[in-house]
Amino acid sequence: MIYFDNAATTYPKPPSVIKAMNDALITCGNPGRGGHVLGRNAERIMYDCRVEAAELLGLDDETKIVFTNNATHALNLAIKSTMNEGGHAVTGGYEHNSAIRPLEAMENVEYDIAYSELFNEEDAIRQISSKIRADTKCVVLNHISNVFGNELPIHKIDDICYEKGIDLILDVSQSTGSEIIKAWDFKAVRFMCMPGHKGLYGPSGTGILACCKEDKLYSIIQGGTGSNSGDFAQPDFLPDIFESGTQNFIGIAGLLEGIRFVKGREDEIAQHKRRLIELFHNELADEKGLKFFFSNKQKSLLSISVYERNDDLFEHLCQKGICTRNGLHCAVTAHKSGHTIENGTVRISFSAFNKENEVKYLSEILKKYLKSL
Amino acid sequence: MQIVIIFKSVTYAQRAERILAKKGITSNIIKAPFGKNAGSCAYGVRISDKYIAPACDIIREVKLPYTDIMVKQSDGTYRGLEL
Repeated sequence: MIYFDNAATTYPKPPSVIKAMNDALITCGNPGRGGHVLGRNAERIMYDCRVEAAELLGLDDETKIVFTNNATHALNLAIKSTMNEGGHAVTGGYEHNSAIRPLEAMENVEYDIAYSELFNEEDAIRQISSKIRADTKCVVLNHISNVFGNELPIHKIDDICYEKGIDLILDVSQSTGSEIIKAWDFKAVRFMCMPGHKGLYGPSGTGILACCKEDKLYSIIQGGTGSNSGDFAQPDFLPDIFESGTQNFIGIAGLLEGIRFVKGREDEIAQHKRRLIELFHNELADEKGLKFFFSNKQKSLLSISVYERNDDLFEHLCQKGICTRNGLHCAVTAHKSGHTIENGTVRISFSAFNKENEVKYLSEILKKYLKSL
Repeated sequence: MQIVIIFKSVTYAQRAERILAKKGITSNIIKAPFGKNAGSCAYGVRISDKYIAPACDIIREVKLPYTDIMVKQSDGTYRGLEL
């Protein structure tokens, strides 16, 4: 089996992740409640993970790291906290449904989607700027598209938001772990949202909401936090305001080791994935009947299309033991921007563990498939 | 004599423990005694009384809010301590 669906969930996980989770199942109890030895073991893991994540993301205070179930959970908290009192929001044209659907669900929120030309950063800036109104409260922006791997100009949009006094929420699901993203590089970013199970190589059921600003917090979920227990009201401080209920400390034990696996290696991992993208492109660029969505600045993944045969290609690859992803990838806006809404695409996404010979094998399978058409 | 500086959450107590350790002050985290400000379920860092003054200075310096300082009495109960 060859795995190229790392934009969904990275596989395999580093052995240290698996060992940490196994150990946590044996040595940990409920964190932040009892104060006994098993609880303390879990608390230590969670705190260590906050410290490592804060360092990774350039935050000065580990209490600004909130654990979530995934990026979708983090985006819901970020969007519904920021837009709690209603108003107008703008999204980029390459957003996942985890950014669009929370906005759509909020009755007191109006939003506009800034569709833009694929691989054209200037157009993205132009389109997002054109959607910003006098009453716009926030921009929600995906850093790297989970469909095409194109990078959105987050720093330039941050400048624009800062000038206009608008909050920026960043979805860094496809970039964390292979791009250097530091909170101190931004001025308008209120939240950064990411999963633990993709580029951080943690298990599913983990995610991070990085809170770059500590004011105007509002939680959509209330409950036990192990703090202020004599008060009916939800604590108003980080991370407790967003962390009700027993946390996934088994998953967080794995996430801690996943973060340690990537920390300080982000450039190396990014270059490795870029080399695989270029190799794949070089192997197949001249093939007729295959549409490549490729640019020189693409990150982590790419999409291909054989148009109405995409589903057939996907099934063919599955039969050959190659895991990819077909369809719309839960990102309708990206397919509207990329004009691929009719057939979707077949996505090939890489991790630190993929090898060049795997890419060559995939290329050979694809060449034979195309010849057979 | 054991003194406990109480914080409103376990994360704050852990932050205090790490900051104090970096400054050479040993402490350990405990589930806090029932504090009048923190309510139940708070956590604290337990330190020796000889370090209480510098520990409080360090914690104030990093703007880490604590809710109570309590001292354990010989009968096992805790009483608040004003510094």
